[in-house]
Amino acid sequence: MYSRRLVKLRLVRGQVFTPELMVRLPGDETLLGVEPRMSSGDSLLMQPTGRGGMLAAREGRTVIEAEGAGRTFRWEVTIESPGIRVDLPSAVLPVGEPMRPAALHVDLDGSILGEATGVTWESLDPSVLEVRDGLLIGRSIGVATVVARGGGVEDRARVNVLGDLIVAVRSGRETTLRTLTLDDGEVHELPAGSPRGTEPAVAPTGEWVAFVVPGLLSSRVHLMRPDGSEVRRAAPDVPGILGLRTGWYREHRPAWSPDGQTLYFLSNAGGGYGVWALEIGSGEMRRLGSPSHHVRAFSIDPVSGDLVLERTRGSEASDLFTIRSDGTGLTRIFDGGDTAWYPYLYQDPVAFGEGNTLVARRSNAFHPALGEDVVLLRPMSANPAGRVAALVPAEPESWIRHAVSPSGGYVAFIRGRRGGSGAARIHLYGMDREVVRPVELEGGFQAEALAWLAERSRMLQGVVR
Amino acid sequence: MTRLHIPTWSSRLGRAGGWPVATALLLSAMAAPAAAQLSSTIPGVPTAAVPTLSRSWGQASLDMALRWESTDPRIRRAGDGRIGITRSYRIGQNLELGVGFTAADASLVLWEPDETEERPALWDGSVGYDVSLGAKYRVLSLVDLDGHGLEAAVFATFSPAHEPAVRVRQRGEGEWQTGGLLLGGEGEEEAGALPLVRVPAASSAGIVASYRGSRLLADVALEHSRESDMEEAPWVRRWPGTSLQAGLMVRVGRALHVGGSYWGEGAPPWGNAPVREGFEEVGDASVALVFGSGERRGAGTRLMVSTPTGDFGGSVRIMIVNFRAR
Repeated sequence: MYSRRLVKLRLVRGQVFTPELMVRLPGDETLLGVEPRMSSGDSLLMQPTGRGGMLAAREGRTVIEAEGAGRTFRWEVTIESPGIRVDLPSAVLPVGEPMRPAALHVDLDGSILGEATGVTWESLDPSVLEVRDGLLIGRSIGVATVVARGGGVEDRARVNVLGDLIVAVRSGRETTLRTLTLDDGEVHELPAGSPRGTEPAVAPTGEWVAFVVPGLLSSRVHLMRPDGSEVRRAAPDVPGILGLRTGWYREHRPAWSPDGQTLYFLSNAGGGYGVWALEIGSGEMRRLGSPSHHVRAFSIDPVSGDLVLERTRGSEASDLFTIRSDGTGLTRIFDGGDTAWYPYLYQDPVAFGEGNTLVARRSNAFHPALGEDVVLLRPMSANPAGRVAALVPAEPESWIRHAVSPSGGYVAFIRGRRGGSGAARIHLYGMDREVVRPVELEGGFQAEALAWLAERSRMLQGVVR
Repeated sequence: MTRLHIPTWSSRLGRAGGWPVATALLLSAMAAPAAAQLSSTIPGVPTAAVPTLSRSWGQASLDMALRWESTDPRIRRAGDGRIGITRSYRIGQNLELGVGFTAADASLVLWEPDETEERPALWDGSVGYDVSLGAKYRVLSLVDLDGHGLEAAVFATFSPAHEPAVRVRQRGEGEWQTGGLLLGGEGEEEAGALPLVRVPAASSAGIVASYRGSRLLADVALEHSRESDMEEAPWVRRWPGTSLQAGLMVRVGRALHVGGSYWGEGAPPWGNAPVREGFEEVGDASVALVFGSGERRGAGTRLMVSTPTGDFGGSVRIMIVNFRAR
C-alpha cells in the first residue's frame, strides 16, 4: 500500500471494498490493522460503511481515497452490475410437479453475494416446462431451458422434466435406462436417448446419473446427464490382479456422496469386491478399507456421508459395518452370526438419514424359497424387539430390488420370481407401512433396477387409490 | 459253502508273498479325500473360485468303495471307506491356502473259504492319516456381486511322504500290531512284525477355469502330478502325469443339481489311487455321476457315484461331500 499510483479496481454492485494499511516501522517491524480514512469522489456510487469500508452502491465509475499514516492512496473504481446465477433445488423435475426456482447474485469471480430478488423467469420450452406464479411446472418429458433475468443480467439453466424413477428395463434381450411416471406406469425414453445399462444412481443435485454398462469381460460405471446425454465412462481402468491392466474386471452399485462430488462404487479390479471412491472434479480414485474386505453391497447415509457396508459371512449370514468416507473408522453395527438374528439374511442395506435405521431386504438363510421381504433394521437398538420391523411382506419364491425415496418416506421395489431377472410392476410402500398400489409397467417392459429421480411433494396423489 | 472272513487285502496278498504290498494298498486309500484340500463344489474337480463369501471354506467327505468282481477267485467282496476333512483359507483377495486331513480308514474283505488250510477268519484293521497342502491363486475374476461368472486360477498341491498307519490284525485269539508288538496268537505268518507302509510324496500343479451361474456350475482343470522316487517300488500310486478334469452340474429344481465329473489319465477325482491286485484298478479316464443339493451358493451336499474298476458291474464308489463357506 505504498504505491501512489492510481490503481484500477472493478467491483460489482453490493460489494464492499475494505482496504487495510500496513505501516512499516523502523527495524523492519510492521504495524497492521491501521484503519484508513476513506472518501469517495461520488458518494452515490461508493458509500462509506462506517467500518473502514466502501460499499459499491450503484453502477458507474469514480475515484476513492484512503488516508492513513500520513499518506494517501487512490483507486479508480468501476462498478458493474452483479452477475446472476440460477440456483435450482434440483436439475430434475417430475412431470406435473412444481419447483420454486431461486437465483443468486454473484460477483466477478463467481462468489455468491446473496439471494437475487426481483428476478423474472421464463421457459424457452413451454411445452416441457411452464412458468406459472413464480413456479416452474413440468409439463411433459423433455429438457427445457429456463432463463432468470434481473438487474440487466440473466442466467440460464437446463431443467430435466422426467418421471419419478429412472428404471433399468428389459425389452427383448437388451436392458436400457428409461424414466417411469408412477401415476400412469408409462415408461418413457430419455429425451436424449436411453442408453444400455442398469443399476442407476441419481446424484443428489440431479446433475448426473451413474449407471453400469454390463459386458462379457467387464462391467463399467458410466455417467450421463439425466436426459441421457453426455454418456461417458466414470473412472479409468486401474491395474487388476497381479498389477496387470487387462481391464477384465467389473464395477457395480454406484452411489453418490450427499454433496454429489464423490461417486462410490464396487469394483473387483483387485480380485475381490471393495468400495472405490471417485472424486468427480479431480478424477482422483481411492479404495476404502482393507483390500481383503469383500463388500457385496453398500449405501451412503445422506446426512452424515458415512457408508454402510454389507459383507457376507459364510453362506448364511451378513455383517453390516459403517465406515467413514475417508476410509477410517470401520465399525460393525450388525453381527449376522448372532443367534438373535438367525436364521435371516439381511442384505442390500439402505441408509436414509434416520440415524442407524436402515432399510434392507431379508430372506431366510435356510429356506430361501420362502422369498424376501423388506424390513426396517435398527441394529443398534437397545430393545431387541424393536430391531426389525417388517415393511413389505414376503412372498414365496421371490427376490426384491428396492430403493428408498430421497426424503426417506417411501420404498419403491421390484419383486420378481426366483430365477428371473425382472418384473412388470413396481411397488411403492410408505415407511409407515402404508400400502400403495403396484404400478404396472406399460409397454411390456421388465424392470430390473431402479432409482429415484425426485420425490413429489404429494407422493400419494395420483398414485394411490 | 461261503465263509465270511474280515481280513484286509494285506492278509490275503501277504500269503502270496507281499505283506508290504497289501498293507500299502490298504493304507494308501487314506490319502484319497485329502487331495481336495482347496474349495470345491464339484467333487474331485478343483474350482477357480476362492472363498469370497468368507475367509474360509470347510469340507467334509465320506468315501466308500465296494468291489464284488475280482480277478482272484478266492476274493468275493471287498470294501473300504474313509473320512476326510479339509479347510481352506483366503489370504488377501486372491490367495487360498488349504489343508486336508484324512483319517478313519476301514477295510472289509469277504473271502472264499480256504478249506485246505482250515484257517480261521482273519480280521485286519488300520487307523491312518494323511495330510495334504494346497495353494491357489486366482488370476481372473469376472464374477458379479453374487459370485456368478467366470474365474480362473493356478494351483499347486503337495502331499508329504509318510508312514501313515497303525495296523491291527486279528485271527482267532491272536492280535498283532504294526511295529511287531505281538499280543498273542500263533502261526508262522502272523508272528512277525507288521511292516510299515511308505507312501511317496506327491505334488501337482495346474490351471483351472470355473463358471458359476444360477443354474450352471462348471469347472475345467488341467493338472500335472508327479510322485517322488522311492527305493522300493511304490505300492501307492499317485498316478503321475497330466490329466484333464472337468465337472458340470445343472440345477434342475429348487435345490437339486445333477451333473457329472470327468477325469482323464492321472489322478482320479478322489486323489491318489492304490494299486490293488486282485482287482482292476484304473488310472484311466473315467466319469462319475454327481447329484447335489443346497439352495445357497457356498453350501451344499454332493453325492458322487463312480466305479473304482471302471465297471459298474463289478464295483461302485460313492463319495458324499458336504461343503460350506464359513
